[in-house]
Amino acid sequence: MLQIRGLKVAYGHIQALHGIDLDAKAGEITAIIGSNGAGKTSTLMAISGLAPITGGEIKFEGQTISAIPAHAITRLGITHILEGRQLFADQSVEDNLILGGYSRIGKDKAAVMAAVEREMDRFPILRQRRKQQAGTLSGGEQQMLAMSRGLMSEPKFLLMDEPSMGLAPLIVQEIARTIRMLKDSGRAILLVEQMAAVALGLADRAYVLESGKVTITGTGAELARDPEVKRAYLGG
Amino acid sequence: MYDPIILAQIFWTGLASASPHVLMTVGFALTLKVTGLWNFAQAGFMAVAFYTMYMALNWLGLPIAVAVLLAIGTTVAASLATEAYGLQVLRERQSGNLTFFIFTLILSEFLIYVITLIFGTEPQTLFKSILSPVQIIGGVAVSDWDMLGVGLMIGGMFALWLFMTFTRDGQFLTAVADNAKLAELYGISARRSYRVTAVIASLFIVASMYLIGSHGGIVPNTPLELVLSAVLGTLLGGIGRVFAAGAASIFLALIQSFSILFLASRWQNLLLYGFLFVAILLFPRGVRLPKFRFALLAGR
Amino acid sequence: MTNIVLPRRQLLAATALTALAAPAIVRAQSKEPIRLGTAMPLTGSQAGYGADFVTGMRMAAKDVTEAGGIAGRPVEILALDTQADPQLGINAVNRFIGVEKLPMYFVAWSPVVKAVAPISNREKVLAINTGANAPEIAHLGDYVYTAFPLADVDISKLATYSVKTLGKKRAAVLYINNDTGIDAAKIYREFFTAAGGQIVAFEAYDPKATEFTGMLLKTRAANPDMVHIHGLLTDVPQVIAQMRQLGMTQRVSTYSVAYNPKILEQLGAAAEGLIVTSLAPGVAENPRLTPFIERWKKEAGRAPNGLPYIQYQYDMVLMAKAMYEYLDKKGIAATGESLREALLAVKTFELPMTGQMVVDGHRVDKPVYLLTVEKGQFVPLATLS
Repeated sequence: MLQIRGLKVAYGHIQALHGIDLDAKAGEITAIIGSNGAGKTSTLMAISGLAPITGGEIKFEGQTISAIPAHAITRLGITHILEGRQLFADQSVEDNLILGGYSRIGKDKAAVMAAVEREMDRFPILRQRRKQQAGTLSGGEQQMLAMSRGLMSEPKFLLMDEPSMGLAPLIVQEIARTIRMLKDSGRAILLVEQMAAVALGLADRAYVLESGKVTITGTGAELARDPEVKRAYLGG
Repeated sequence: MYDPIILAQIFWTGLASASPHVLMTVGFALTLKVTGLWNFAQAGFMAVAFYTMYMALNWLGLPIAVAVLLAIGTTVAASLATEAYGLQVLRERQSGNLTFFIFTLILSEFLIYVITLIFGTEPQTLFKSILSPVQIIGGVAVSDWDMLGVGLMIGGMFALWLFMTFTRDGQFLTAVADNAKLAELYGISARRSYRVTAVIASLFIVASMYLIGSHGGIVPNTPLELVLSAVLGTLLGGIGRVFAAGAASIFLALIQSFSILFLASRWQNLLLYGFLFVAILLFPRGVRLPKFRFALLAGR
Repeated sequence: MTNIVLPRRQLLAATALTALAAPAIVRAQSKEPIRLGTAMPLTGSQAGYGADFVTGMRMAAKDVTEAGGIAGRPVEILALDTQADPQLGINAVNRFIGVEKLPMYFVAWSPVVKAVAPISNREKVLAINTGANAPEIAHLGDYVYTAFPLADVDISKLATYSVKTLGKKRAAVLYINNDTGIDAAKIYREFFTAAGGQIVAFEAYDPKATEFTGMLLKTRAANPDMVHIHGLLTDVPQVIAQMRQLGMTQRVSTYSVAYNPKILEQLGAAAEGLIVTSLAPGVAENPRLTPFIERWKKEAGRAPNGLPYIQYQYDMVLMAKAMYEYLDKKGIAATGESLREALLAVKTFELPMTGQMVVDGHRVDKPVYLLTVEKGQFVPLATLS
């Protein structure tokens, strides 16, 4: 579904990606792991149109998307759930969801509200908190809201940036469960994670990024067994 | 001096005189909220607005409605051009805040310089006369200009509130103001929101300059001084809080007006700045009213 | 080949002719222009007056040059911009003295005159005020003189007239809070009370103010029967307009700055009864004025801004002519010192646009012409001397 060839990203003089190749397939979870500053977030940002691409190409379902502006990429069916569970903190849970639905569902109010209900079925806790300001939710609840917001637009492809960050282990497990469910429904998921163990446990395919380059690639299981990966990212 | 009619007069005239400043403050604060930019180019746009109306009325002899429409046209064109060919370029280059600040300031100076070359430095008014018909209502002198000013101020702020609360584009403005990158991911075009903001700010600018220009003389440099009052209101209201900035402007104007009761007129400006120092020191994020509905609205 | 040898007779004739022509050639080469420096607001909010002042001087320079110049030399005007701002005034004068090496210059606007006075005194360069009226100008030093009557001339007479002739007893004085207004307001107060009247309100306003409601309400509460406003053309009309809008119908007086057709346009009916002073004779008193105004209209396409002031600017060139020619006759070079002596020695100047001027030390006394607005026009009210 997604093909990246020779992608280069630079912020001014700082080269974040030095030309990476990556493939993500529908119905699969593809993980990117690596240490801080390796370029994982830059990869996701480049796909969703938020980072300056200085070389290479990104193709989604055969179409080149490297030059399309960010707000239009969402309409192609790609959703990016940002690092840090970014939400419109001052707006209510419900309003965050409604905003998330505008892009794909357009002005059809009924369709948007139906989608809101669907997401609240997926995460009933959101229904409980529907009128609350998003900034007052707990970390795990915010992550659920962020995911629901992303799913409002019925994306084919999900970019998830460090969904486990700052969350308790129990919540992380729940999030992992949800991600698997999403994959089972036929979506493609590109998952960036600091917590390599979680990522490799979920991933069908994985890439290791170091200093803006792909160093190792393989299935999730293969990488989990790889001695270098184990030493660098799995604590021995 | 504490006669209720005199107090009412001071209140009314103070409120009316504040109206153009409130309008330009709201435009300025909205731009700051959505784009994150202290847009000093607004001074240049204010000059464009006034002199377009002046030229249309006095050189071309056009009726006032046409003059206002023309001014809206030129001001919108100027601010959209600045947005597309100036600010967007700086954004793509990831320029720092200082670069934006210097750019907008130089743009204003440039526009004002060109206007000075064309129109000269003599004070000009939109109409030959600066008086407007007056009625005495309950002992208080109320002029047509007063009513127009207060009407535009209240109507403008109300219309903006309706827009930002109930329309898609209005809600998009709030989203972009909150987090532009996130808004993009929601399918909201930040650039479009910046353009919408530029158009709205232009409308407020034209209204403001119409009021000022029909009440007293303007020289090309006047907008640079006026924009200072917009900055003051915005600081006091708190960055990102448009209606609070408007309220702050009204409040500052009334403080100045009522200070006459216990201060000689020549100290009025000093009081204003003194007040501002205190406010900035004690309320660096702007004055926050106790949490009740009004404050929530003001938070938009 | 012919031998070209000029016969002695022809050689002698040629030499004699050359010798006769020599003084004329030498004189033409020494016809260096006399440059008169003037520091005026050419840009900024006061430029409407300042630029016209310079135009008036240039017209006079042209006229004088065409009539033979000053001691046979053409006259040039060197105008530098002050924006009526003290700092820029200092820059302009420093340039006159340091770069242009002028021994004398003309200047106006009270804050500027005060700011440049120390430079004139230190460098012994003569400064002549041609339009400011702060009374302090008479005490700014040995090298600062005025050709324009200071506020104690017209404001004092106006205040006395208001009591003695108009019968006013309670005056409010509203003035701009800078050098233009402060001293003049004090003089009005001094003379109004000396004549038997009472000052019921005495309010200063900020030079940048545009809203005067509070001050006017305070004034209204004091119940005056006369209001004297001493400001600039950028605020006086606003004060009057806002007065009328607040229902205050008292008669208003101000000084020559408001003797300007623009005021009538801006104020319309609100200007009725306004009293202004003028320190130069009008068309009725001076037949040279009408052709001068016609000429101005033809060259500039409009009426002059501040005609009485412009009359002074014009006459400054003639005054300079008298001073330079006094020195030229005595074979003295023109320096700041010598020009100062010349000013005091000549003392009485017959000037075409403003009449006779008698320099009395650092002051000058002139008749004061009062005008008032009647049916939308300025008409003469009284002449006070």
